[in-house]
Formats: sequence, C-alpha cells, structure tokens
Amino acid sequence: MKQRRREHAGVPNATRGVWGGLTLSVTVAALAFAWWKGALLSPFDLRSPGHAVLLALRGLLLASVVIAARGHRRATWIALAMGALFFATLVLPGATLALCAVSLLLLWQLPAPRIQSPRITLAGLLSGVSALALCLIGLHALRPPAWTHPEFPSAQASAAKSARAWLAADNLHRARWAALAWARQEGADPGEAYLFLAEVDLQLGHRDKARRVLEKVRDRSSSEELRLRAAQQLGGLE
Amino acid sequence: MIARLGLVRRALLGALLLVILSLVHGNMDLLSDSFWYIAAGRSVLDTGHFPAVDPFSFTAMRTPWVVHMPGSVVLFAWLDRHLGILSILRVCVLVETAALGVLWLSSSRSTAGRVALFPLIAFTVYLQRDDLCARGQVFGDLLFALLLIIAARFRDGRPVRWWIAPLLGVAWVNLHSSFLLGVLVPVIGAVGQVFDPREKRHSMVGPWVFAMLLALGTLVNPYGTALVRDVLTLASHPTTQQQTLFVSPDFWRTDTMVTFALGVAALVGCVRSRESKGHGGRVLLLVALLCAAASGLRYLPLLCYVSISLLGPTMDDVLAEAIARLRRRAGDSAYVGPRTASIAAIVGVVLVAGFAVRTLRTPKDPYAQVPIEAARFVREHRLDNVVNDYHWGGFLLYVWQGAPKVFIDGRSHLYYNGVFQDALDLAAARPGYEEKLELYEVRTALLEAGSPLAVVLEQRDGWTRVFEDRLAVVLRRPDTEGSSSGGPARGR
Repeated sequence: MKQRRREHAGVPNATRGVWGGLTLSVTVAALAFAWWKGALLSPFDLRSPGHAVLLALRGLLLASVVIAARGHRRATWIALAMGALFFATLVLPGATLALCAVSLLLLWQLPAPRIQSPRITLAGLLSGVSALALCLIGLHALRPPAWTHPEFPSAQASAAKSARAWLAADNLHRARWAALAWARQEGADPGEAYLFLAEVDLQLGHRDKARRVLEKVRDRSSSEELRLRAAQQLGGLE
Repeated sequence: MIARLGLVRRALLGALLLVILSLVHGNMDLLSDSFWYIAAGRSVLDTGHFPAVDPFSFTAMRTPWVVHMPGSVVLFAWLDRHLGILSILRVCVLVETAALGVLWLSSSRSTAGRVALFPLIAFTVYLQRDDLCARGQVFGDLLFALLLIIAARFRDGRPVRWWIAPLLGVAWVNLHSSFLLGVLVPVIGAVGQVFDPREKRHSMVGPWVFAMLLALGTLVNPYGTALVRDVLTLASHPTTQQQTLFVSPDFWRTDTMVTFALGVAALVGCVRSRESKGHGGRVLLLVALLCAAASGLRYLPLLCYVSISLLGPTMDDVLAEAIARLRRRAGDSAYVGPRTASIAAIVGVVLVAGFAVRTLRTPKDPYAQVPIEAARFVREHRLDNVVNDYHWGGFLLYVWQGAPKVFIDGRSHLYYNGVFQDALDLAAARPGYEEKLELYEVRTALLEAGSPLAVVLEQRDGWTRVFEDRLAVVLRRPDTEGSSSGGPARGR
C-alpha cells in the first residue's frame, strides 16, 4: 500500500511531481506571455507576436499527451481528441485555453514519462562530441551577415541620416531620394549633400547627373575644402 | 492462377501510377520561378561560371549573388537549350511523379493498402494544384520521399549505408533549398526516442550520424558554406514570412482541413501501431509538421507526405484484419473468385489507363500562365524603368535578359534592402505609392490586368495604357520617350 502511494503506474510520485510542475510552469509562462502580447484570445496569425509561443505550446502539449498515452486503453480516443483540439485552436480564438486545460488534466492522469538516458557507448560519445563541434562551427560560420538585416531609417530621421542609412542598406534609389531632400535643405550653398548625391548618382550609373552636381559644388560652394573635393571627383570622371 | 493474379496486381498498380502521372501533368505548369532558373542557368552555360552579381534587376542589392539551387538552374538551362522549353516541364512531371510513386509504393506493402492509399496521393496533387510548378521543388519532393524511406529504416532498426547521407546532402543542396529537412527529420526522430523506454528504442547514434554526414554533404556546392548560410538566412528572414507560400493557410478551406485530418489520423495510427519501437520519434515528427503546416502553406504537402508514410503500415494491418474477418464470415460460398476479381481488375486497369493517357495527350502551352506578349512588347519598344508584379519578375528577366531590367522577382534574397516591402506596397497601391514610383524613377508598368496598381494608374493623369491582353497591361507615362500614339496595342 505504501509503495502504491509513492507511485502511480510505476512512476515515482517525485518524478510525476517534477514533470507536472515543469509542464504547468511552461504552460502558465507561455499563456502569460501570449496574453501580454495580445495573442491569447485573438485569431491565429503567426506574424503577430505571442502566436509563435502559443503554437510551440500547442505542439508541446500535443506531443506530451500522445507520448504519455501510449499503451493506455483509450490511447486512440485521446490522440483523436487532442488532434481535433489542436486544430480547433487554430480556427477558434480562445480554444487554446481548452487545449491547455484538457492536456494538463490528461497529463495528471496518465503516467509521466521516465526519461532513461541512453547507454553511453564509444560510438555515441564520438558522434555526440562531433555533433557538438559541428554545431558550434556551424553556428559561427552560418550566422547571417549584417547586410541581410539592414537598419532602415525611421520616418522621423533627418534627410542626411536617411540618405546614409539607405546607402548602407544598398537601396540606391531611396538613398538618392533622401539625398535630394537633404540637398534642398542646403539651399543655395551646395555642400555635403551634393557630394553625397553625386556619389549615389555615380553608383546608379548616372555619370552626367553626377558631373552636373559636382560642377555646382565646385563653382558655388562656400567651403574651399568641398570645392577641392568636387574638383578632384570631377577629374576622376573625365 | 497465382502468377496471373500477380500480373493483374502489377498492372493495376501500373495503371494507378499512370493516373498519378496524368494528375501531375494536368496540374503542373511553367510559372515565373521556372523561368528565372533558365535565365540564371543560361548565364552559367554562356560564361562557364556563376554570375558574381545580379545582372537582371535595377533594384537588387549589389552584394555577391549566391545562386540558390545551382544544379537545378544549370539543368533547366541545358534542357531549354538542347531539348526545348517543354522538356523542362516533362522532366519535372516525371520527377514529381517519381516522388509520389516512391512515397506511395514504399508506404504500404500490400496491394489493398496501396489501393487504399491511392486517394491520398491524388489528394496531395490536388492540394498543390495552385502551386505545382516546374522548379527545383520537384527534386526536393523526391529527395524528401527518399528521406522518409530512410527514416522508416531507422525506425525498423535496419541498417542504412553510411555513404547515402553525404550523397543525399550533395544532391539536395544543389537541387533545392529544402535540404535542411534532411538534417532535421533524422534528428527529430532520434530526439523523440528519448521519451521511449530503453527497451523500446532503436539506436540513436545512427540518425545523428546520418544527419551530420548529410550536413557535411551540403557543403559540396559551388559556394561552400556561403550557399548554406544564404539559404538559412532566407528561411528565417522577415521578407520570407510575407510571401504567400509562408503565410498561414486558410484553415476553413476544405483541403486544409483534410490535410490536418490526415495528420491527426496518422497520429492515431501511431498510437495504434503494432511497431513496438520508435513511437516517440514518430509522434514528435508528426507534431512538428502539424505546427509547421499551421505556420505556412508550404508545409501542408510535407504533412501529407509524412502522414501517408506513417499511415501505410497501419492501413496494411487494418485492411489485412478486415479482409480476414470478411473471409471468415462470408465463408467459401460468397467468396469472390479469383477469376471474377481478375476480370474486374482488368476492366478497371483499362478504364483508368485510358483516362490517364487521354489526359497526357492534352497539349501544354508553356507560356499559358505568363505575360509573354506584354514582355515582348516592352522589349521591342525598348521601354525602361519598368515596375512589375512580384510573381512575374522571374519570367520577365528570362525574356529581357537584363535589357530592360526588372523591378523585382522571386529571388527575394536579393531584396533585403527594402525593395521587397516597397514592391508589396506598390502592388496593393497603398498610400504613398506615387512617391515610391517617383523615387524608383518608374516610367513603365507591366502589371496583371485588373490588379490594384493597374487600376489606379489607369485612372491617374500622366499614365497611358500602351498594351493590353488577357493577362497583362503595360502603362507608360506619355511625356517620355517611346510612348505610343493612338490606342493601346492588343495582344492575343
């Protein structure tokens, strides 16, 4: 009798307690996060924040219950019900709560999994170490370069900042558009904006436009340094 | 008699395979993606090396262009050059049929099981009817079907030759960008086994080693790690999440519901399965695919594939039991004799084969889904600074070959610089579209007839329609060079 009280379906109560606590904590944390992001009762849309966490939670609970139900006399019905509930959570906002409640109830009734670590063999050890090394090398070599996630300027950014940001993002047309706005701000005294505009025009292949802009700076700028730079660049164009 | 029955069975399966071929042939077309493959491949065949930067678009980033699926692009260009454009469609139809055939025949061992699974195979074709296209994905499907056979061998505890993994990796990375599945599927299967009791596990080392060797094989491509990195970046990039294929499906559509029902049925099949080992791995793989299918349209067919693969053995068991029970109840008197069954099967084979052959003989127009006339009009009249719809960009760059250049196309990894979002905003004619047309110095628009941008431009002062046909319109600002006088030109 005492042995039976310390166990459920051959699994020690302590193990069940750990699993139960873990599952409950993860579920509550995920639901709280989703509620905070406004995803808990809204229609499924993975582009919204919070829904990705909810989807992962659904998968976790579904897998946990189906794995735990193995060998149970009603395993078929449990799997069917959980699968149907999983789909229902995708079409009915709020059904996720029902899925969580049913899953937790079932996991409490079903025997908790006893994770037995695999026997450690030489082959396993070697492949495990190699896998880890490959993963670390891979993570380093395969990290996305910075240019794949450029920083776009905000709508409130100044024309100068926008122009530089778009050039860094390699969008020459937007950089030129922002440079034109920047140049208009400089007014009758052509300066840095014009030089920037000429550089972008050159990169776009508009040599004539670039030449005209540089000539304006060389002829009209109040800064001698800028006039020299413009003259040098004009020399490079010819 | 037994030999004759065997022949009839083979004929029946052959006829059903012919039906799969005809279904794929009827639903597959050359869409825009097929054409950028040819354009990129032509460049390789002409110059002997992969292009360093993109020559086809006037808005693409100027970073080194890593051509995804390098093997497929060269193959497509070679087929186009030597055997004509329809040969690409034929090859892709055969490859996709092979993928479905491999999946179908390997999932079930009995004739009854295979016949029962056949509607699911047909459904898989139906599910992809809007997207089935002659492109590298057909090779990805075939390799995925082969991967499922290998996964089944791991589940059964049967050995897998070590050299298959790197070969599979080499082929997959060069033919399609879905090679990550080759690493993930065995790993998921191995991880799932952690939840099984030790006596109900197969070796966990095998799948891990397989995944590692396959991953190493993916480095054998013209770009080395750069290609793998590029593909992984594209898979997780925000621009990918906005593409139609990677948006969540409409869950109220019948075909979506049927696909999920199939996944749930496979889950039920797992718990009923008599296979004593590998339960955790099967469940974990199915759940992962259910979640993936919920996140993107692209993964619905993969869920179908895996469900069919896992349902096959269950189908065999269920049908074997049902047939045995029927025989016991019916006794010999009501038993349908072999002769009657053979005649019925032969009639079925003839009818089915006839339908399939009739469908296969329907001619295909390779340009049915693309604006060939509009593209030729723009090229012949030397119109430039063209804004185009995203889904036609691949075809337009094939026709124009860089003169003029396209605004955007399906190679979204070249448009991380904000152009992708601008293209979406322009296509929907969202507020601010006029400014975008100005900043990209757009003078010509080649758009789908009736699309939002086409409708608003036709109503705006300063834009004139210069060409139209059943698919597309070309609009031009009339105060620039090259504008036509009089009414718009009309295509076929």
